[in-house]
Amino acid sequence: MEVRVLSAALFLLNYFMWLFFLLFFFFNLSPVKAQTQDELFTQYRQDYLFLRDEYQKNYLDFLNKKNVYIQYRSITSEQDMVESTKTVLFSRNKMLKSFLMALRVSLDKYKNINSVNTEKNQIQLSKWEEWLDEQNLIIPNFTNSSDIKEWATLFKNRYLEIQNAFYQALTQADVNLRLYNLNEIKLLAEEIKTDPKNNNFTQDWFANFPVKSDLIKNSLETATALAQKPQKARTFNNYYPEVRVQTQKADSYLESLLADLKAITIKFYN
Amino acid sequence: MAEIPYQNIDIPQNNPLGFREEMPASPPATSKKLSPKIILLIALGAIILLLFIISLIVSSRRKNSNSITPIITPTPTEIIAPTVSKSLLPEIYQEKFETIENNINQDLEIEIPVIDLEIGL
Repeated sequence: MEVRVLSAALFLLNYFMWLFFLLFFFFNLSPVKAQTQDELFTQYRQDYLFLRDEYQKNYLDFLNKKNVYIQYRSITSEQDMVESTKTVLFSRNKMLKSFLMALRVSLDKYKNINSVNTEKNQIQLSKWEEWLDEQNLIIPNFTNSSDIKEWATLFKNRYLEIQNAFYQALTQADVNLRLYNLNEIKLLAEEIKTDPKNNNFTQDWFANFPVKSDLIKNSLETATALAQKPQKARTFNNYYPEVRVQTQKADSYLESLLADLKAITIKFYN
Repeated sequence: MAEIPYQNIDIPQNNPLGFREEMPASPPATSKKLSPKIILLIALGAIILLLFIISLIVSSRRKNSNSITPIITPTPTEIIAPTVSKSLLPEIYQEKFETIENNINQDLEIEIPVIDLEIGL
């Protein structure tokens, strides 16, 4: 009899304990929200800025150690310089990786506009992120200046490709944003066209739209072509300022389209 | 022929023989004391139940207090003026135009890294 009561009491106790904890957590914990694309980009950007500061600190330390070695040429100062070089190279790779990650995530925002090319860029960035990770497994094993020199030469050559990959991604991000804006303007114009107050006021705007749309697309195609040009020289030929000229040109056409649409809307509403 | 006494079994009250049927005696009800272990467990269960009810009350109150919107205290110097729309655009399109305008002037906020390629060379 006593055993039965005891087991029943134990069962009840166990049941209430679980119920208590489950309900306690259910009522007190806020649900975990999925990170939005913007939040993810902000987080990666902050990581990048933090790692950039780290790199700059390590770089200053490296310069100090290098100066000491040049002054005294001692074994200790050489060893110190080797260690600080390893540290700065390691932090540089980490910073570059975080930059590529932030850039890759930023491309998600307007990916639907041109998913094939955007995906290509993202794959390229991922490839270089992995490569930088691999290099950080090698760097701690360097024991002398010649090991470091050999690796630094290899990195210098590879950095041309890394630069090309991230400038292509930046160009793609710029192009995607402009194409997205063009589409948004068109959608807004179509909404205004069906407004009951609109008495064919948007007719001229729609007649001019293909011309301006073509001008925007031409600028963006030029920008893309600049980024796709193969790099032949040993040093990186930075085409990005020219890309910016083209995207700014596209922006001015977009602003003009939007301003015209705005003027028409104000006209038939007042 | 002698008369045979009998009992009508269908009517139990009609019992000329005064015969008492033997019924199985039920055991006398005895009040058994619960052992201290069980009392302790029941007490613990009661405490947990009480805690659970308290937590429910506290969490519901906390939620209610969070939902209270703060009351804006008006500043005495403020002059109440009729609000006039800054834009001549109809309200239904204002936000849409603003969003696109902001998007046009928006660029990716990420600085390109500047590195020293001569490190280690």
